[in-house]
Amino acid sequence: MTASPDTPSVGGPAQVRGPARGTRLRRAAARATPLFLLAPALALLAWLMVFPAADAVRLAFTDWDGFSDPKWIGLDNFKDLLSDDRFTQALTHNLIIIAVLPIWIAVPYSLAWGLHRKIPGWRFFRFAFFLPVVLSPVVIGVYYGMFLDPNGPFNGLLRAIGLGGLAREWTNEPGIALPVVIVIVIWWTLGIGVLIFLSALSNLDGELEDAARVDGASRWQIQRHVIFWQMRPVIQFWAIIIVILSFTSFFPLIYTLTEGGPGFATATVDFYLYQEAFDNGNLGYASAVAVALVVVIGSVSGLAVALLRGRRKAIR
Amino acid sequence: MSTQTVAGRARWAPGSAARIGRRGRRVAVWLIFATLAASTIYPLFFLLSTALRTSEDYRRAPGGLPHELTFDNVQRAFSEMDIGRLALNSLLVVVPAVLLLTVLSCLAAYALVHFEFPLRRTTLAIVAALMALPPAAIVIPIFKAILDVNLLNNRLGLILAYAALQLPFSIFLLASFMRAVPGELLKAAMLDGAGPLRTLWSVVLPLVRPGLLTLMTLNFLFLWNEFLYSLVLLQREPERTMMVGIGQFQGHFDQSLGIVSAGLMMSMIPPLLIFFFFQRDLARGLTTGALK
Repeated sequence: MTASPDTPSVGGPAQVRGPARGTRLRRAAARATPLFLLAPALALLAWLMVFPAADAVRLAFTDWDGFSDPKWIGLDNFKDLLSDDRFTQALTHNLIIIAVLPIWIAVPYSLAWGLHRKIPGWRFFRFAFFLPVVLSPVVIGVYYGMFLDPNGPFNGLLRAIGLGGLAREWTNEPGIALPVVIVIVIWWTLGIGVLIFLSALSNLDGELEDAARVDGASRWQIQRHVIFWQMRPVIQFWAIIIVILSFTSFFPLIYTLTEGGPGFATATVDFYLYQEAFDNGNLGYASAVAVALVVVIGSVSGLAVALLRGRRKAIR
Repeated sequence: MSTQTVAGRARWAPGSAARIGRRGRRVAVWLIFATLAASTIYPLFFLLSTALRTSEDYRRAPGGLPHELTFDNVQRAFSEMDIGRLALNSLLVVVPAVLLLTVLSCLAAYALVHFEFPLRRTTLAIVAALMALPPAAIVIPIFKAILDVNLLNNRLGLILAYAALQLPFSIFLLASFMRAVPGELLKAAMLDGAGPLRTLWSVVLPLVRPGLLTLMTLNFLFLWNEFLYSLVLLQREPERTMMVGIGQFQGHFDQSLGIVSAGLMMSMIPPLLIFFFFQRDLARGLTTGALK
């Protein structure tokens, strides 16, 4: 975010008091005012955000158990990372999650569209879709653990409607557990996406749409060329949010729902990072995982944005 | 936008759909919406009902209504899970963190929006960049920074970490509200002899009160639900917070679904209150970033 040039800003108290009243000392003090106002926030950010971000990179080159001093071991962690099956597996799971990005965008977009078009009961739906957003991942994880239990309500429902053959151990079957986790996360974050798309849709320029209609554009053409085109920045924003979410927000859910299992089938990179660091005490190695994670997030977000931008050019 | 346009968009009006095929599709779409809504409402019903029934009753029909109500699980959540203590522990971390965040972000946003100084834009850019830094990626160095000052397993450590993690977002959000305060008002106040802090307190803050409320609500919600940092920075039982306490309890005692549900229901009280009473503020806070 950058301040727009027309931001109203007072020239600072120095200007306001005027040279007649203030001594040089007072003026200097007044000029320092923003510094004093910012100091506490900047100090905290420097100590617990900026310095750690740099330290993460340093720690990635060390062997550290959390008690003794970190020991410098050069590139060893990164070499291990390349031949680490578990890391590869976790990363693969994350990439599978990223592959469903289009669904993760399309579902909230379509829902927001329905709400925007005032589907009967839209106020209630808007309220309902947003509900999971305020719930903790622990609540979600534990709830779905019970709901999807082999003897839980979901299998009960399937049996009741004659689909008992589909009933299974949803969170404990390789090949099914990961898709289940992905569906839960999409469900959980749906509300934010709907909210963002809905407020963007209501800010759209209605005249463009009307003009297109007058020009005889079909509904699909309007959707694609007029609305989607205007929505593009918001869709990009949501795509970046999801990329970050998909790499860093699965941990609490997986911790309470599947603990990475069955086997390692639902472990994601952030879960593996936690496990290596705080269960196995390999904090240096886990830092290398963190560095790899940030690099992957950066490239994937860049790619997602580039793809969305490319699509805009195609439309033109 | 004129009301005409809105009325023109109301394609759901009955009668406008003459063709049956279209109506069928519309019903199908509506059913999808309804199913989804049911899936978001049902957890509340399910957890409440499981919390208020015996485990035998639960096994008989897990998804249905309780035969008879019992408060046994709620009582046991207090005695066995120590849910009261967990709630207090969460509040002892989250409330100070929210207050600290409010003070720090007010001062910082005020300086960044209403004062001109060297590197102002650079500072804004750094704050924005930090907002994109995923908390999970820096949990280890933050753990180390807190460990280095001997604040591990000390509530103050988690409070400071929470404040740092939420600070970029808080500054960003408040700045977007403060930008709406006209600079002339501040000039006038300062001409009347009010110092910068006095101006902030009696001119700016009253005007951004909705923004402050949004900020505090969102921060409370995020931090109340936060799991990873709480798990890592408060590892001993006496300080353990609500989400971690429940998460670990359910891992150890599989048989007590009722107790876990009772605990979950209680952990959901603050978020649900916020949801019901401050939904508009939440929505505004969450969409501010997207629409800039």
